[in-house]
Amino acid sequence: MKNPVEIKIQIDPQCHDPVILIRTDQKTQRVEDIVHAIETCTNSSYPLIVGYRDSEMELLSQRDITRAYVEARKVRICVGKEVYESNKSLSFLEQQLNPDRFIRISRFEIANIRKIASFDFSTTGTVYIRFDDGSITWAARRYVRAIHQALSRIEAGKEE
Amino acid sequence: MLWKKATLLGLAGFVIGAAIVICLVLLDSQPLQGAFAHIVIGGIYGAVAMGSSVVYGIEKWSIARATATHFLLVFALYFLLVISMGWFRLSDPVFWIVVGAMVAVYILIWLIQYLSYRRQIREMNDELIKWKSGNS
Repeated sequence: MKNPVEIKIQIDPQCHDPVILIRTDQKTQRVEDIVHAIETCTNSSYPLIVGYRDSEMELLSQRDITRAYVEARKVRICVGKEVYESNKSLSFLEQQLNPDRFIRISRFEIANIRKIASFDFSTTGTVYIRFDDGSITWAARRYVRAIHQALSRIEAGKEE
Repeated sequence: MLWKKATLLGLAGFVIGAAIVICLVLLDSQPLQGAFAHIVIGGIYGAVAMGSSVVYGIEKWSIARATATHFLLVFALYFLLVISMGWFRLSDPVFWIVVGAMVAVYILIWLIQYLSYRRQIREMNDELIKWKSGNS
């Protein structure tokens, strides 16, 4: 095996919950994969989400989901450029999704805050959200404060 | 949901509008009986002004669209009532002063909301940049 990951375990009586620290010189895909793997086995309370595409069922990792929204009375889930359908309601999905990662941005949509690239405010007064994959959506103004607070929490904690 | 909220706000607006007219009539030392139509009209104006404020809660609508819609509804009613009740004529400068004041108030409402949200969006972008650069 090339470049095996060195794993050290440090016993600390003060530390009741395990803390995982990854030391690396840069954030590569490999590091992302390690984080993903750790999250998958520790975040058992946040399950994989069931999505359907071309009548085939797929289990979607919450980490990969960009947003979930209602369109034509159907709930759709975006994973990058792929769009899946869900047979659950948006409210049900919201309960299943990790609140540290997902936030309501309108009555019709939930977004993965960690996949947001930027916010834009148009001259007419519409809030737009641009995601890392280039997709764009709008957010309701009444959710702006909540989005801001969630961002501040993440920034303060420097999570992920 | 929106209609329910509009109805409740409209009812509150009716009471407030009617109460304002009653106060004005009493301040003018006029009998209330003779001012019944004016009290009802004041109530209707309050009901429309407050009830239609629900347009600000329509999520898909921009601030400009919500403000313009509310202004047009309130202005249209003002125009109809003022002309039909004979309160002012179009040649009366007071009519146009009120119109000017309404336009100024609505521009101010839009501007305050616009600047407030723009500042918040800027702060959010700053935090996003800080967080992303701290993790890159």
